[in-house]
Amino acid sequence: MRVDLYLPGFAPHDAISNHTLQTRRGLREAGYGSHIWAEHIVGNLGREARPYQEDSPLPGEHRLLIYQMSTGSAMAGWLRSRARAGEEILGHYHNITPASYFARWEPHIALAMDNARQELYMLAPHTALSFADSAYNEEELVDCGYERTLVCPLLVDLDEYHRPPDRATLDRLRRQREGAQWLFVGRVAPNKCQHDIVGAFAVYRRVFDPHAHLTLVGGGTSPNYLAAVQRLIGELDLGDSVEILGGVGDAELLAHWSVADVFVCLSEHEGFCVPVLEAMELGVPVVAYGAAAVPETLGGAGVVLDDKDALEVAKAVDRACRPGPARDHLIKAGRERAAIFSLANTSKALLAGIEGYLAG
Amino acid sequence: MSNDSATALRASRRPDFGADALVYIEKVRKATKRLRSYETNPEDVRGALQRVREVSGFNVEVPVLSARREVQFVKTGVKRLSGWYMAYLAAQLNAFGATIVRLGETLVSRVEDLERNGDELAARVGAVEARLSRLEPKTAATTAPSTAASTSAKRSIKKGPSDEG
Repeated sequence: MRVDLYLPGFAPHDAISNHTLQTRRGLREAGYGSHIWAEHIVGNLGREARPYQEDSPLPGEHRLLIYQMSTGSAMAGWLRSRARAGEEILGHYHNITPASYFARWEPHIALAMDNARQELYMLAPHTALSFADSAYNEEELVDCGYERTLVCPLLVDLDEYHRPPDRATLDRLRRQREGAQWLFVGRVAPNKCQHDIVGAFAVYRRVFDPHAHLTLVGGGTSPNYLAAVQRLIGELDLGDSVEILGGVGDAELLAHWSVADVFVCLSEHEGFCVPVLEAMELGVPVVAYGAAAVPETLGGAGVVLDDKDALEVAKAVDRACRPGPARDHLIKAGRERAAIFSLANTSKALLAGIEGYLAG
Repeated sequence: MSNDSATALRASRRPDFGADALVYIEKVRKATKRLRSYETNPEDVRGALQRVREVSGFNVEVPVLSARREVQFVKTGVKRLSGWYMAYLAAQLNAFGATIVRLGETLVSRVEDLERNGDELAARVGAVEARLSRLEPKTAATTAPSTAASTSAKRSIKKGPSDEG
């Protein structure tokens, strides 16, 4: 029995790529054959995945095809043709950002997001069962016509976050900074609302802590939005107190986590939000806007805000940063919450879902 | 994973809610509001034109911020050296953008005029129809006997006497 995994883009430091690798590991450990097939294979991952165009079923072989749904891909049409040929298709939905977030900044990306959502609708009648990272994602699947769904969080190896951080970066950060360290990790994209973080940080710095520092880590998907955020930093006279780092290596990222006092997430659309999980695992209190799947992932182990007003966020961050029982409670609750998403737990849940399907 | 000494230092600091801070907070609110994403209604022509207006200006103030000081230095140098060239191009692009927005405004106004005229016409047609429907029963009542007679005559002409026999 083979369970093959399909994803549009396979890249290093990518949450869905890592999830797919962990899924394959879990399947192989359970005795299933499993290969990864992708449309775009980036970097040195050629040994782990092969182009999906080279895939063809062996005669008489029983296999499942699990598609990681998160963006538009020619692979969706190909999978539909496989379903029509009698193969069994399963899905794992990681969410598609609504096009409206990109319409203003990158119209071509908005169009691609619309196409991706159309593909999600198109595959509904051909997908026997679809997993969803969160109940929020599951609701979207049901709205798109998926009849059989199951919530199964993203597979994340939390042990990876306990490796040593990059020493040089850590030394530099410890030497340079004296105020509160704000951190946000995530692509620079309009739905992540980095502009709101910059705004709240500006108020925090003005009212509570003139030495505070904000680091935004994450590659960009919208150059126009990035430029607007950079202009905002200038307009609010924040100078060197805000650092936009782009994508960084794992060890360097761990150095930033090591000095972070608070993780601030004002994103409006997340299907799961892995960085929230990272923060909880690493004992960094989370202050987040309660949108999409973020409150679900946090599960009460962080500060969830109903309002993104800059002053309200700044006040919440000030409370979270002050040493005392409230901060200690956030750190403890975060670690307990993260343990629920341990790789052992999530792998087990996903495997149970697949085997439940196979058992009928 | 926090910097404990700095955290302790912050705990003793008192927040500043002075007049200057409040002015600054308002400035932040306005600045961040400008960058919000919003839903677009495909039938909202004025909204679509507003989106064009927002992107029609070309900013030559290239951001030079960088995490690495040397990169920021290079960016600043390139910006200063190429500023005159970028400004020359941007002036033409801005003029083009403004003309497109002007064209859009003209078209939107024209479409709105047509829609208004269409609404007026529809109202007038509705009034005429209502008037007709009021007049029709009266007309039918006054013309009914002669209509019946003429129908009977037409039938007899069409069929002819031989058909009935």
